[in-house]
Amino acid sequence: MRNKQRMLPRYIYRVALALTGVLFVLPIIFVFVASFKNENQIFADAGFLSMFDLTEGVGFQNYQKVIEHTPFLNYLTNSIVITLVSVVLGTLVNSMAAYSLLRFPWVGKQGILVLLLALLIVPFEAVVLPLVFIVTQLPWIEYQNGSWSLVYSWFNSLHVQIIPELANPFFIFLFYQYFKNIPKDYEEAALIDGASIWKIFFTIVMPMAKPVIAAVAILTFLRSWNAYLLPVLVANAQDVRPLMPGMQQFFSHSVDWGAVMAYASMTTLPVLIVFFALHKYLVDGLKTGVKR
Amino acid sequence: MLRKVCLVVLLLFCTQARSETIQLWRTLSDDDEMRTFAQQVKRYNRVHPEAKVSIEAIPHGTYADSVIGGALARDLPCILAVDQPNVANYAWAGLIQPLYVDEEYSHNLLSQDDFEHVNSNGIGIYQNKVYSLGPFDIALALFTRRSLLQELNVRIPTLEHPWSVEEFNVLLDQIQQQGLYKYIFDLNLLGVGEWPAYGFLPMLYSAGGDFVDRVEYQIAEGYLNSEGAVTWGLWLQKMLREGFIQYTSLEHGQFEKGLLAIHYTGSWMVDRYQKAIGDDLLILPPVDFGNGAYIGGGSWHYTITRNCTKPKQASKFIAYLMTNEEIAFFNRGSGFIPTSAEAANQLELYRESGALRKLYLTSERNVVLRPATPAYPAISAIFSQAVRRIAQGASVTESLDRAVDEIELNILDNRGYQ
Amino acid sequence: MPIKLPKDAEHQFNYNSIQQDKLTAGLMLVPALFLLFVFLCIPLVVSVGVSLTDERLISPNSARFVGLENYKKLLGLQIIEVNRFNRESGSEADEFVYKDKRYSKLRNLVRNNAELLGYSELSRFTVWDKSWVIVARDVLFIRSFLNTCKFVLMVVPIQVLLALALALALRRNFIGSGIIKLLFFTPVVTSMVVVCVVWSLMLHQQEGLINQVIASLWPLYDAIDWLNDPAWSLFAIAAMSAWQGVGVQMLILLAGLQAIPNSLYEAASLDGASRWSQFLHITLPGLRHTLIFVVLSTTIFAFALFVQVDVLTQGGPQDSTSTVLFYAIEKGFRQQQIAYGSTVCILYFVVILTLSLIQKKLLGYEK
Repeated sequence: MRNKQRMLPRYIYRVALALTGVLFVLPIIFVFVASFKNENQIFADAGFLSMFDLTEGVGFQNYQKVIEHTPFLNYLTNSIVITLVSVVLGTLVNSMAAYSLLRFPWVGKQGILVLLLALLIVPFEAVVLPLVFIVTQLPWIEYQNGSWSLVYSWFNSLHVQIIPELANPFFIFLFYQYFKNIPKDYEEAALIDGASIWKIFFTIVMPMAKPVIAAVAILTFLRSWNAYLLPVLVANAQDVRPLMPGMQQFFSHSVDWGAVMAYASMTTLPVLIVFFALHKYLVDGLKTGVKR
Repeated sequence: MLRKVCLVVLLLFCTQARSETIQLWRTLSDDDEMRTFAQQVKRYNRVHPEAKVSIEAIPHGTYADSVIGGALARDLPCILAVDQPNVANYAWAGLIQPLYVDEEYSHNLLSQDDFEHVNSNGIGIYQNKVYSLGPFDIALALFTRRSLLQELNVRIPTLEHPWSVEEFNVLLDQIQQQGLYKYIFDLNLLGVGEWPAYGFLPMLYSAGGDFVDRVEYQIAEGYLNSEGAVTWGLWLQKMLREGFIQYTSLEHGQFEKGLLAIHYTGSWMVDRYQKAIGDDLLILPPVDFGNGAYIGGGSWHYTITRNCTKPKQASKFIAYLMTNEEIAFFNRGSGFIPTSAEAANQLELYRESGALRKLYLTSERNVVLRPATPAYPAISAIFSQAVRRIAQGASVTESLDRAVDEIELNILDNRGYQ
Repeated sequence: MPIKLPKDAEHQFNYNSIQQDKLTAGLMLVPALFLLFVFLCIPLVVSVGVSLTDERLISPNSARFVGLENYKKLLGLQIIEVNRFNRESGSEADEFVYKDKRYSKLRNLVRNNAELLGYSELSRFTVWDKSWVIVARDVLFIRSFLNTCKFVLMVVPIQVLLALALALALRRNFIGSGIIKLLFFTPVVTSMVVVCVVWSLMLHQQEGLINQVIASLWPLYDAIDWLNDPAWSLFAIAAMSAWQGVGVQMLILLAGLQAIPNSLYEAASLDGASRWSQFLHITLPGLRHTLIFVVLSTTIFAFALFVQVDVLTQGGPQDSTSTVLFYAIEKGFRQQQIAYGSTVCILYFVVILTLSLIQKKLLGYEK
């Protein structure tokens, strides 16, 4: 009997906690619900429960509007390209560097590690203005109208949104710490058998590092997909603009809340899917990062 | 050596890659205008297949940013549409090149014949050089209802005898007494972008103020905070205090719905209002604050950028747009005000007996252009802020003094824009 | 720093004939170092260099060396004495004293002294009977800096306390606790732009959910126009930011809590210690390390406030939400004064650096 009495408040407590959690994400749920209403309904149903009233919803009309009347698909493509390339190249560049640093007796290795640690402190925001200045002076080769041509500025391009943020001291350290826990015996055996470093890296090391790869990949994904500051500065042409600045622009010029919410839903859904599918790695990655 | 060879090869590719078309950027505007312009381009391209023009239309809100972006990306088109007051800034920044310098200069892109017939609204000049030409203008006017003035027994003002500000204040009071209109007067107080400078400079000018000294373009003291400017600011606050104008009003289409008595806005509304209330619509010259009724002048012009590889060919297209026939054609299709007298004579609306002749004449005679200085974009932004502060109830003299200080500092920070 | 550098040697290959592999390994290392050099080190150096000139993003003139002019402009402050006296007509008036000269208007004083060119009023203060006015060369920058500090002071307590409460509530695992944790973490992965868009609707004066909820709980409530009221706009942004970011701090604190040995609590329970005293004497000391880390990293993060301002308020109303970073971008990019903007960025970096060093020091001494 006594036990039961104590159990009851505990359940109430947990249910209350769960309700708080739902309440907490209400704004995000609201985005999705409101995207199926027109503007008048959104304002009319602004009450606490009535905001979930979808009886007079307009179906996918808002989505259709956004896709047909704004360059949404264009922005989406840009974001997908930027994010995919950033994730793949970013994972590669940082893991390779970490591996090379860990396993090879480089001259000045201590110095490099200390420098990397120091660079960890430098916030991206502090260097973004000079970065804009620098990328307007860099050359690039572009394929245009059937031939290659030299371009004299990185401004308004997709690569300017990818390359500057690829190498990341924090990711290098994540890999570095993880690789430390992989015993080097296998790799040395393979070396003696005559395997190349490439082969060892890709067939032995990387398969063992899946959790950290996943963590870095998700973090890169989130950063690239949600990127705002850099693209706002260096990508203001429509053909290279990604989703978030596009959304800001749509938001500041449109008064159609339904369509704005549809836009927001479409940009948020992929993130939520990736997050709920891979959250374990993300959380682990963050914890390792914090322990650092 | 190898690097040099590579560069040369790449440069060869580069020249090959340049398509034969001449690129043009302009703002994306309404369908009539876009269609008319496309027709002009099509006709031109038929006659000039060797240097075809291709249009890229960029939304209005992002146009200025796109131009800056294009400059940073070294990717500006040959022909660039530019809002006339920004011509000086672009010229100073080295983005665009002069179309005509003077008779002696041997590299003039255009000859004087190409623009002799164009009035001052259609020519963008900086440091005595012609940088831009524009085929159309818009005009500011007061829109109201004939029936309203008849009921109140108020005289209909003319260009020669516009309403004085005292007359106008009395009229607003009468309308308020009458109580038939929810809103009495609207001058788009919270208009963004160029509106405050475009819409309110003529009033300020009429009251005896200005933005800056128009000879050296270094000083704002005594201009933007002059007695006249302060009078105008106080008048604006009086309008708000008496409830003649609203600080914010969310309702759209107030004038058509009969909620608003008098609307101070641009000629782009003529069409909509005519459709809504037909013959009852009255288009009147703006209020005289002491020195006459003025409107803003200068709209979108065309210029040639500095990185254009075929400026001669590109300027041919501008010359073509600026012939009387094409000016008339464009404005017939778009409904704007032509920038040449002959073109006006070819248009039903703007000829001697035309319904909107008055608008053409105002735009030809009673115009105050925004100061042609590279500091203009900054001046415009600072002035908008000052208007906003005044509208929010801040002290008029303090707001204008602050604007003067900010403008002069900006000029100093940029080495006087020399 | 937990990374023990000398010990790392044991992770290196001992195998001797790796000379040719070393080239490959070099190739693996070079891209990251090169990119870090070009896009992190060079910009740092460039920003210092540029800040000593009057470079513009697009300009017909080449840059000129101006020394520390930009720094002087940003930080220039002066204090001017104000005398209050009675006019003959009986009304009170102010008089400004500078270099033994008296002026009836502050603006005249500034305009008549070349060294005060460009200064304007930042604020006034009175100590006993004497008044002073502080004038600044760049009032908006000083305001932006103060706004940023205010934001930090608002967001850090809200976010950390909320995170602590959540972490304590979710400390014990139970069925479904994982999902609840995920819920609290969801806003973190949602784009800040999306968050701003939803909140701008929720914060709407008339139709917004927040005002409606408050009004239903408290009928006398006079609806606040959150984002358009200079007194509330920064707080609204702080509340929103805390909501968005609290998940991260919660996770970190949870990890910290789980590291406190359970035996301590058991022992305390046996001694009859109350819940509260357990919290005070076991939880808080045990979390000390984690809390310092959380507070300082949240501070550093909050200093970078930009997106919310750019999307929601553009620094307004009446400059009440202009922040250091927003100001830097506004000046350095949108008004093209890149040299001046870079100077702001350097000062921002100095603040971050200081905070980071404090963090290192506090955490280092603990051990």
